[in-house]
Amino acid sequence: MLIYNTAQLDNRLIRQDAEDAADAVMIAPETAKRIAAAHPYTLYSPNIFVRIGLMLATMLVVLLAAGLVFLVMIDGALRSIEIFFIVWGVLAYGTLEMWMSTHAHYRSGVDEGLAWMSVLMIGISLMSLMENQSPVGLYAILSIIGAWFALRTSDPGIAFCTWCCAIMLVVHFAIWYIPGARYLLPFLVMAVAGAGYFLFTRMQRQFRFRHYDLALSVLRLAALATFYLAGNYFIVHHAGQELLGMEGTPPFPWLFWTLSLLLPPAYIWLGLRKKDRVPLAMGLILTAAAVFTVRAYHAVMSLETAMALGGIVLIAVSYIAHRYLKTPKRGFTTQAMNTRSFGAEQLEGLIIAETMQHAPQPAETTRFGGGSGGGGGAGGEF
Amino acid sequence: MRPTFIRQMADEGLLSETERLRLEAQHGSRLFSLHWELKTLLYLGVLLLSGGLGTLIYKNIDTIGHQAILAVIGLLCSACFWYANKHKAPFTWQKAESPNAWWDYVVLLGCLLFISFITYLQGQYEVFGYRLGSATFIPMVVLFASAYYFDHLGVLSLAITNFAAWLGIAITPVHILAGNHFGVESRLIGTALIAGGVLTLAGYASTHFRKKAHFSFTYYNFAMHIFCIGALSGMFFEDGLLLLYTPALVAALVFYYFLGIRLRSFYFLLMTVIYGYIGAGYLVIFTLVQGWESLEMGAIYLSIIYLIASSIFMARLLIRLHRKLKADAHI
Repeated sequence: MLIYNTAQLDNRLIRQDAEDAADAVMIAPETAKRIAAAHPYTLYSPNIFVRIGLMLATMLVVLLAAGLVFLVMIDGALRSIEIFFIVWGVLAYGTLEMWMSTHAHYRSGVDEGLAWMSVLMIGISLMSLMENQSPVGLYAILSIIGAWFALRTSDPGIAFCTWCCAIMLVVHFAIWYIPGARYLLPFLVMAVAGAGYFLFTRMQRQFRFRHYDLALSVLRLAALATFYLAGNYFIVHHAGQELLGMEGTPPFPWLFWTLSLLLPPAYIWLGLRKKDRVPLAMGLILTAAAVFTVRAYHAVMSLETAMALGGIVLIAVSYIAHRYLKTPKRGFTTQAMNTRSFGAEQLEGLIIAETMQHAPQPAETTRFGGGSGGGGGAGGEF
Repeated sequence: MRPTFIRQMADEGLLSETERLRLEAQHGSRLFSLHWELKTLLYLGVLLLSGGLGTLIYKNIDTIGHQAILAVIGLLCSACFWYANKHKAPFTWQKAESPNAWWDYVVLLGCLLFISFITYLQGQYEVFGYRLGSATFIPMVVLFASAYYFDHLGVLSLAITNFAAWLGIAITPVHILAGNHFGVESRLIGTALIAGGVLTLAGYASTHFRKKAHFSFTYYNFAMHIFCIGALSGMFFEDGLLLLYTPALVAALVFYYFLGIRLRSFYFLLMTVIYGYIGAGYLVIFTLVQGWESLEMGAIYLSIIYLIASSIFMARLLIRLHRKLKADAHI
């Protein structure tokens, strides 16, 4: 189903696996070299920076070419602007298919740029074209197009967008066609998300879906998030008001409060038990969501007190974990593994500089060079 | 290794019998690393705690509580520095390995709390006077000292940010464009060029004198962006000074291009190519718009055609550079 040469992709996986095994001293370095020699990888997969540059260049070329043709045929194009961009989207897709059959690229930026331009142009045009029609039809078409692109390219971002469209399809379908759905909606979405999670988890374990690994991880994260959000008290409350026009507190408040508070720890427990990063990460993220949900209804303490106490709790948890795992226990370690990801330290430094600008500063009267304040740089917000 | 691959490699005779058995035994019993999860928790904890305490003193400024909060911050800060100093690796001008992620964030928390403390004392009692912009100057000195003493890239990034703030300019990725009003305040453009120049020198000095050579990337990174954005802003907004800012941009691009080649760093190469693309595009379109009288709509068509051609050229250039430096991709 992929537009890529799967034999080559297999070689890529084999080489990666061999390298990992050699790093972990499971096989001799010479063995890894012999495996790499026997399984050459010839597709063009440059590093992340070239990839970003090529993706930018590709998207620019597609957009600018569209703009140029738009200008040339401006009268006709203005009258049916959506059709114009759908045609361009289809053309971009055709280019992608042709490009992949003649050029050996994989995640080079060119393929991703073409796929994203195509899917965005078609998707946005369809949204504006079908604005006044039933959202069920729109989301059905978007889901199908997205699924096709996701199957052909295994792009995790496109897979995620497709999942969102599919969930919107379920929601709108239930509202329009199922009587009494307004009370069942949270449970319906939870059922779909739960089924999705188990399906994607099973697929990820199977060898034949090996090239969709990243996309499936993203889909599993999305399914877990959807499952939680569908049962979250705040979401149920507000979605009930906006989508269904319900008033007052939702039915079964105790049930939704339980789900809001207990699902994140349950995810973390699941992740630790199965040694699975997907539920673990989602559980950690959703813990923050649970805190925000509580704070939205019960402001038990001021924001800064909550921040300071929350900070202490987080630091304490990680301190205890560091102490406990000083030597690896029960198959867990705090040592970094797979350190091939370059630049993580630099990125960490940048994030720290961006987010940890310190406390507000008093307005200054003198400035270097004697200009009027203005810059103020760091600070200014807290 | 995936079981199917293990079998395939064994069938192809690429794995020895012991290696095959070892791989099969290992499958499913690997160590699970919680490194990034715990690091993220620590990061969030430090972020929340320092932010919360920093705000708490200001919110409680007229109550008895604020003396207590001040004392807590002071105590926590000393505890952090005491702990960090006790467990640090001996000082060296080379790269010192940090004991663990927990230690990294203790250093960071100590620095952040110290800055809150100083800023508060300065704001409330003006203990350091107002010369030299001391409200940002003192934190900057403390941060640079801590960064070198504890060998901490995060603190170094904070220190560089503070250095820029001292000059009166925002330098972090999000604020570099949103926080500076280059078009309104032309003074900032000069400041950006100065900051970029000084930081480039600092990066160069780090490697040249072998004093914490691994810090140079951080210096260069901030320097390149602030300098190129400053020079581009000068080209865009300062009428009649094109001949001054264009050579400045070209000089910076040439320097960072060769730096990228020497360090085999694709990050710098990509960034030079992108800044060069923007600068050249501006110059060409600027020229075409000057000739609007004779060209009219042709100016727009020619601009778009130029941009398409130059995008393709940029892509080809990147591919060629990649081929040239293929061996190993660094940041």
